[in-house]
Amino acid sequence: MREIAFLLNGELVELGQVDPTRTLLDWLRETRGLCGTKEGCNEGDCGACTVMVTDARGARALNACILFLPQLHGRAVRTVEGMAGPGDKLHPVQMALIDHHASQCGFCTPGVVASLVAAHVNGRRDFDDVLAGNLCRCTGYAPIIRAAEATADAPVPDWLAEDAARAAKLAQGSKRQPLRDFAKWYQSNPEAVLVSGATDVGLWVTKGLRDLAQVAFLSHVDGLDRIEINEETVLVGAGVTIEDLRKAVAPLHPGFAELLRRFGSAQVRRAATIGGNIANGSPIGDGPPALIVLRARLHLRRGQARRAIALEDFFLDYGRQDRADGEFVEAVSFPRQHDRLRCYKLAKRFDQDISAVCGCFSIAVEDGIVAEARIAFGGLAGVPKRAANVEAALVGRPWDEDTIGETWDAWAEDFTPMSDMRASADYRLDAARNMLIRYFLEAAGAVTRVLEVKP
Amino acid sequence: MSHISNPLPILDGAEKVTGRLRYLDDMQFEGMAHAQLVFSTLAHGRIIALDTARAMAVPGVLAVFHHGNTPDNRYNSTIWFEEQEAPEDERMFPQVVRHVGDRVAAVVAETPRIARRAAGLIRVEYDILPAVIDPALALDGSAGPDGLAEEVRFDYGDTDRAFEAADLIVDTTVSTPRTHHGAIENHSCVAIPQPDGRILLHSPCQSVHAVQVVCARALGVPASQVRAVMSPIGGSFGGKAEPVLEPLCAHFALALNRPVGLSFDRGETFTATRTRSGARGRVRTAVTGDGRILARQTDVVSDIGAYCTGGHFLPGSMSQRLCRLYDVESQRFRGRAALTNTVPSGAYRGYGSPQIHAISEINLDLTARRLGMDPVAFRLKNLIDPYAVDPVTGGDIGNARIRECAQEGAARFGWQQRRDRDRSTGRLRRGIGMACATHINGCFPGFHEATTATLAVRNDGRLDLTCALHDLGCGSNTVLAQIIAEVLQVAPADVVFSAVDTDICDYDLGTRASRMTYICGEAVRRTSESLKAVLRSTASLEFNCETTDLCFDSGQVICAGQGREMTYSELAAHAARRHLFLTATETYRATANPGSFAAHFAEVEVDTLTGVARVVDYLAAHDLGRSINRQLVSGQIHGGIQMGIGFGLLEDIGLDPDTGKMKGDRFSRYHMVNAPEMPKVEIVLVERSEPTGPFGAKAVGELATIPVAPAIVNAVNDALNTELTCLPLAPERIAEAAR
Repeated sequence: MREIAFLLNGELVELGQVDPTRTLLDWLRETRGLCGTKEGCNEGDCGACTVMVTDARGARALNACILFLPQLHGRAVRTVEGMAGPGDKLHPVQMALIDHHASQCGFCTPGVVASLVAAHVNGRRDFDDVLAGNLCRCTGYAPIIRAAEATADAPVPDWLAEDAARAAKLAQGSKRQPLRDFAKWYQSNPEAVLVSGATDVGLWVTKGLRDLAQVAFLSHVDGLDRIEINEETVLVGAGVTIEDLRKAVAPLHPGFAELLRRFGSAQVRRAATIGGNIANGSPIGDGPPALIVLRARLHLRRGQARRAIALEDFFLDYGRQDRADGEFVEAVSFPRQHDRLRCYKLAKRFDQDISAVCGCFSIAVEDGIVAEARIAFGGLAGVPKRAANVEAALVGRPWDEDTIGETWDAWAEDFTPMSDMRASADYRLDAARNMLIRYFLEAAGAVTRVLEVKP
Repeated sequence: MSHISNPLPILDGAEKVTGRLRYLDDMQFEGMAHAQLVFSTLAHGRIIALDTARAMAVPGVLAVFHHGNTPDNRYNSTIWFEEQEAPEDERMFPQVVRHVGDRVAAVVAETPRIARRAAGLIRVEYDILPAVIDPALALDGSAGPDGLAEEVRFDYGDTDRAFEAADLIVDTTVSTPRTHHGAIENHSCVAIPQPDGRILLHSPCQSVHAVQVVCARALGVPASQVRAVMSPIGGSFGGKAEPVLEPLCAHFALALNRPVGLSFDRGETFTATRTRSGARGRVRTAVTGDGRILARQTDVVSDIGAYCTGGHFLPGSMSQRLCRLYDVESQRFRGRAALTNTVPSGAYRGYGSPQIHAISEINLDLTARRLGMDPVAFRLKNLIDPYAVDPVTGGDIGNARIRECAQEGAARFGWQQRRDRDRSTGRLRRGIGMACATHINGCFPGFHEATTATLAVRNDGRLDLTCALHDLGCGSNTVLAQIIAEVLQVAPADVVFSAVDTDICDYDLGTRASRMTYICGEAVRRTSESLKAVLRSTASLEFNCETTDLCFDSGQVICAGQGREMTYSELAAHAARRHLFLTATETYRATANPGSFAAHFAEVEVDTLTGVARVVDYLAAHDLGRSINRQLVSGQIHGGIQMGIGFGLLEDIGLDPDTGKMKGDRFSRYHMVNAPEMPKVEIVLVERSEPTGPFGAKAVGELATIPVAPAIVNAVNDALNTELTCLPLAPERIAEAAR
């Protein structure tokens, strides 16, 4: 139980005794009677519960169903009820949604409103991307996008403009826990569940119905969300969101940035952190394969003791990582390098889908001979894993189709993927092999990105 | 002014964009308890023991219900009216569970959380019974006598001779997936015992009268004991057409004598409500060398799941659709509905049409290819003409303009230019495809296809409309208001819709079978004309003039000769002094069932390395008689395409062939098309007016999704020169074919 303070639709809310795993969605609907925000799936896949959350870093659309109340501390929340101004003056986005017939049954609409208002505040126009995490079964989306386009140039209404400053003031009043203190605390409380963005842990509660005895919110810890880029190294704190990581790596490794653009939905990317993506050890997380190829090192900390290991060595087996009791992921770093990284995400739906196969490649060729090859995959094994045999079959050989053809058997030595709802084992392995062909074609200058091909 | 064809925004838009509209789960009911169901984890089994003691011991638990302590009345949740005969194979809680997700027990408790926790404590022991997951096995006799739920055959013309005379016979087998409706609002219901002993049900449903009769049958009480009121609905698409939760909820409330709410979460809505049935159809088409269809033989098996919850109607409805699109001299059809130990199927946008058109339109495309003919030209050679007679029912198909859809659509899409383009042989291949489709307008001549509406002028001049009109969110009430506004020359916003309540409204079939605009629209148009006659005669008394001297404009009656006018409000006040009320009631009985038609065109791009296909361009041409509201029509078509792309490429609930468990039971594994996946869509409306429709209008909503999947599959087959026929075209299937 802890005390938290945040703004709800412009009004200060201070809560003394809060169940740390109470979701914002349940609290809004059950305690506050603010039923505009809807539950469609309760696991962050449909976006009906989207709200706008503003803090010093700006406005974000987030899924309220997997957002725990303590995560709101020092922030400003706007629900669909709080988007209109004084005298019920509709927000321009709301007006346009009516005019363009962008709301039919209306059940996804509160979430759509929150996503679009957040995009409007931030001046974004990539509406497909903004809306990828808002499922609508009625409209076919075109009217929603037309409404968004029609209001893109409208000024941000006065009544929303104050949230950022007021939230910042609220946040100033409360000190974040120094990293050193947190490390010490966690060492003595190793059974605590660490919560960063709650996009994964949230489901343990909403779907798994688990009672989490002790919870620590990393968003309350200072120094985990730093990004340091110097001439030798890129260092990313565990608390950096996927969206902030995407922005940071875009100039260095645009392929990685594009992979991260397809990571979850806009809502998830703004909550989920790279530390959580690594630490939870999912075999289908999109972060690790790219980072492994970039020769990333993982920085772990237990109390004041620190160690750094190669990221691929962190993943021991399915559900098992090289992490001691009371030890946590502090950061991940990788050396500055020439960008040869290509990331290929294969999923049924292009955006906002979990990878069936995620393959990342960096292959250096000197005088027609493969000098170095780093290849790592998600979705092909119980852990994110390097294709060591394939790499070995390439290095020292001519960079041509024959060599690629000869790696055929090495793939099966590296991976024995499983069959599930997303893909069969055979398809996964074939797709992985084909990704190497694609890398080769791309290196040869062929246009191979679906997004670049014009009619 | 004319209100017809106007792009009027929906009347309840402001409530929706501000979150003010209260759906059922947003409402509070005093003293309400909450129910949580316990579901079967087996595809088939007999419950031999149920341990409820631990659940009952949880503080806050009020009752546990199961087969041992609930009424054993058999019922069928698809009936629409009291006298309807249907196989009664459902019960509130069966002792023999027939699918994973079947109902085993329910806990009712003070809060949803307590109910959910306690439900997790109930232990069930089963005798495992053999389960049939594959519909083919259900029919071959090995699974016992009950596998065949329904069989429909028709046969006209001399099919055998036509097949002998044919230059070419093309034989194709197509299968379509089991799919989830995907309305963003999950299923929900509230039951409240009434002081007079009746039970009141609040339900986001498609027909309050169906809720009433189904609950009455399940409870074993007369229908008059049940009152049903529709709550605002967050999408249905057929998923909420059958009362799934209502009979149970009503019983819990009556047994405990307090209000009870029962709400499903997403997983429960997936596994324990309804799905679109899967279908596997073999079509043999006999053609002449110059592309004339001589005959067709179609044999379709539908996998309807564990109960006759609508799927048993599919063979009949599929057979209807086959005879209303092409002029085929002879046809033979056999449709069978197979019961399997899987999640039940039920109504789902198009009711059999998406399946049968996918089956037949993919076959026709392959036929065109073997003939070396352009798919559009081949279809034009065989499409029906206006007012053709349906050889099976003998009724005519109305002012059918499918030829115009195909021709104008092809021209606007640039079909020929796209066909003439050089084909890539590289990694990314493009292809184009098209498909035609038809759907019905209402239930005529079956059932009692009639709507009764009452319209009255209120003192403030607005119009009260009393009718069981279930707006499922597509804006049908807005369309109906426009029709009334057009006749009576008022603002559409001045029409006040009554609650949809069995205590208030006359019997109505509800929103289904594409009957809203065509049937209910005509009913309110006639009622409006009736009221207009009342206004005319009343005003002629007031003005002391001939009724022919009167005209209507902006909510006023005008006597031009005298230069006088009177608002409807004033007229109502004057009439009241004479003890007259300005009201009219009409019952409209349908006399026709014209077809609505569409031709859809798609361009796809296929990645041969991954097998991923994306729709990159799309055009939909629709014959809808006349549009009452262009913007709403466009909304229906866009939404239909969203659903159809899913049906063709992505959506599948993924039933495990061994256990019958649903693998695609959540949105992270069941892929609905999202915003980035939608292509640019162009719409062509062919508006040639249907004489029997209100202001010439016909239906569009269900039809909009029907041709989508076959158009896309045909485009993929064009891109790769393949003959893919197993839907959805998952990347895996495409990659294998492309190899």
